[in-house]
Amino acid sequence: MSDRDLDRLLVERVQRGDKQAFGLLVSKYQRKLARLLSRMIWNAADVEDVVQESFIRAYRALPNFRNDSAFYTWLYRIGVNSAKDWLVSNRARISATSAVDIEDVENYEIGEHHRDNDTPEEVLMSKQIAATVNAAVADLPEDMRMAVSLREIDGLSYEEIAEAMNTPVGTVRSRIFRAREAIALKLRPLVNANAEKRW
Amino acid sequence: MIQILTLIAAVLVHSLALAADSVPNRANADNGIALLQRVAQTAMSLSYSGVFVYRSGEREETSRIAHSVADGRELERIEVLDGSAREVIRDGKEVKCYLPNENRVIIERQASVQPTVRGFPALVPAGLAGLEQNYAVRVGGIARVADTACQSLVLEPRDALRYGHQLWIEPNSGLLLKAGLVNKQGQVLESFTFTQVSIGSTFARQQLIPSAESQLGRVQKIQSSEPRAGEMKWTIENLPAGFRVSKVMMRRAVNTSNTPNTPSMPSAQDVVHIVISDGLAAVSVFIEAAAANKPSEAIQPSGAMSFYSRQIGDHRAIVMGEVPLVTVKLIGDAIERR
Amino acid sequence: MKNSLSALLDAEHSVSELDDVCMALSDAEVRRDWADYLLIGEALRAEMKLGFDISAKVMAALENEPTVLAPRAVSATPSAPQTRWFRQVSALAASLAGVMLVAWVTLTFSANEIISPSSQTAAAPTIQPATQLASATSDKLPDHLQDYLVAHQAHTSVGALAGGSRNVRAVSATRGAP
Repeated sequence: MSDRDLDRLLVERVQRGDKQAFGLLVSKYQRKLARLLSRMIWNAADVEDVVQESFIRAYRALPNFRNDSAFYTWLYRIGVNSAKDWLVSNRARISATSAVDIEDVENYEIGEHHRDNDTPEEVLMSKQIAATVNAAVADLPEDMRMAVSLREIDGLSYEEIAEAMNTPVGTVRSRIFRAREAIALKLRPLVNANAEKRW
Repeated sequence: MIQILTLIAAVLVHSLALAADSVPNRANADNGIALLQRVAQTAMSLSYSGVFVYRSGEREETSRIAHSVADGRELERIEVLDGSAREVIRDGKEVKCYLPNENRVIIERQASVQPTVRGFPALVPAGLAGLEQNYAVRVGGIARVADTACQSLVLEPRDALRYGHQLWIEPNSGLLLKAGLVNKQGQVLESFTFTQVSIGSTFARQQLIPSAESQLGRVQKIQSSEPRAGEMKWTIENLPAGFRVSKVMMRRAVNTSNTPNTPSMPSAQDVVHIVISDGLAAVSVFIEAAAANKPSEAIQPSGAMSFYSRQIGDHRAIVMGEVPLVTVKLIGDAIERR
Repeated sequence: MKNSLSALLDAEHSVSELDDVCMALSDAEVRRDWADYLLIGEALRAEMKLGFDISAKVMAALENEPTVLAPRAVSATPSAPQTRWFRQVSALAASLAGVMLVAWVTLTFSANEIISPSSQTAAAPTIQPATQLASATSDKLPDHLQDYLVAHQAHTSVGALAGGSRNVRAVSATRGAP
């Protein structure tokens, strides 16, 4: 099963009335969407509003979602449209603060032109999370570190990792899980500060 | 009593929470299905009697029940012990409801109707697989009900179109001793609990004759039968996920009177009765001729039943079932003239 | 559960694990683990905006949204041939549905909710949040509905039950009759 298949299954659940399953998709794509939209919208608080608006629009439109396209492609399009709408209705403000050409927004590439428009608190939080995770990974036993890196950084499937590490798939699965749990243990005190933001 | 029921409700919710915590596996679900299979298999053949408490929303009632199988025919008698005297008697395919307060008796006679009907685009109800598509089945712990150790079983709905079921089953006989319908907030909408039960006792048909029968003025007899070719003028496509048409009947009412003072009512027009099920929950659709164009309405009383009615031209569809309001509404809105 | 979550995140889960996870989403710990594991992945990929989390806000906002349902979008799985087992299941359905035929003798509605049909025109059926429901205009089930209720109980409990008392709802509902 691919990641896309998983999204399709989650979407089907939501279409059958399981609202909670939508939460899995929100958690999964909120930051991706926020990173995309922060190339279009300068202010971090506005990005937050538009991301939220995008998810709500997506939820309402879900009955019309056809499973022949990938969920995130569809979601991103909704996100971009929401951002355009926002830019239009805030044009006066925007023209004073930014030179974004509304027609060009879709041509922005991830990773390019990133403007550091986050608040200092957000930047700090981001850095702390990254530092904590990296430190926790460094502390992991070699086999667990390797497995989780191959998965998360290199994007290999369990089967490919099993082949690379010459272990059964079940072992890969359990190593990745144990690695995540070990990292999460160290991460939790830090993100607990954020707990009320979390679903 | 209320305290006890509150406790039961708390236990119900708690067991649901426990069930959600555990990681059910395939084997667990299979055991659950096997247990359900046993329940269904033994139900027809089992004789028992006892007292149970039925609770729906805020209301509760205690009733006495006796169920017996004689000559391959099911006999059942339920007497309500609280409030006004009411009685339900099932004799084979006939169900009689005695309502002394309303001075009437309703007799429902079920004709043998094939689950799939010719000429109607009936969707064959799903079997085992269908049940699991709609509910996650898991075996819970052992609990005492009516002084009997019972196996608990949780059927959790996979979507918002149906309620969850919690069952407590006496494992030797397969008799259901306690059952609850639970909404997604974990509230018990309706429950049914034996407070005492004795399995294996039989009784004779003669014992089924209620004392009140001859005194009730209005007798409403309803005979259901399979629709004749071309008689069925309605279709229901696009049912909510997991639901299928399982039966289609024509109802013909014959109102008679036991006493000269109560005039016989003219025979009402035929009503279509369609039964729709997802393997556990059942919804009935009644379609009657109705000139008055009343607005559609949906009603959810405090218990588990939901009602929805909708005018379609010169007919009115009435949908009811032990499902969330949205489900009766979706079903009602899916009815079309063919 | 944690193990299943981890596999689900990588789309390496088994069929039942998806269900298990979705069933368990009412558990805050399950949701927390899902969020933690996702965050770890993004941190390892050196993504930005790691402190960004509006999932609580979004889900709270969705509370007030009508539940979307797209029954037509869900592919109708070909129905299995009708087996003896099916008959047992429907017998079971009957029994459970009718577990309580005694309940019927007068549905006294308390706090009824009436949905206006004008809201049904949307392409996708929706459930109106309770707050949008008009208050009840009727508080008693009309007579013939009561008869239908008896029929519903009688006919959905065809065959078998486990646990008797199929007729409970029917009787109980008429309790308050004058």
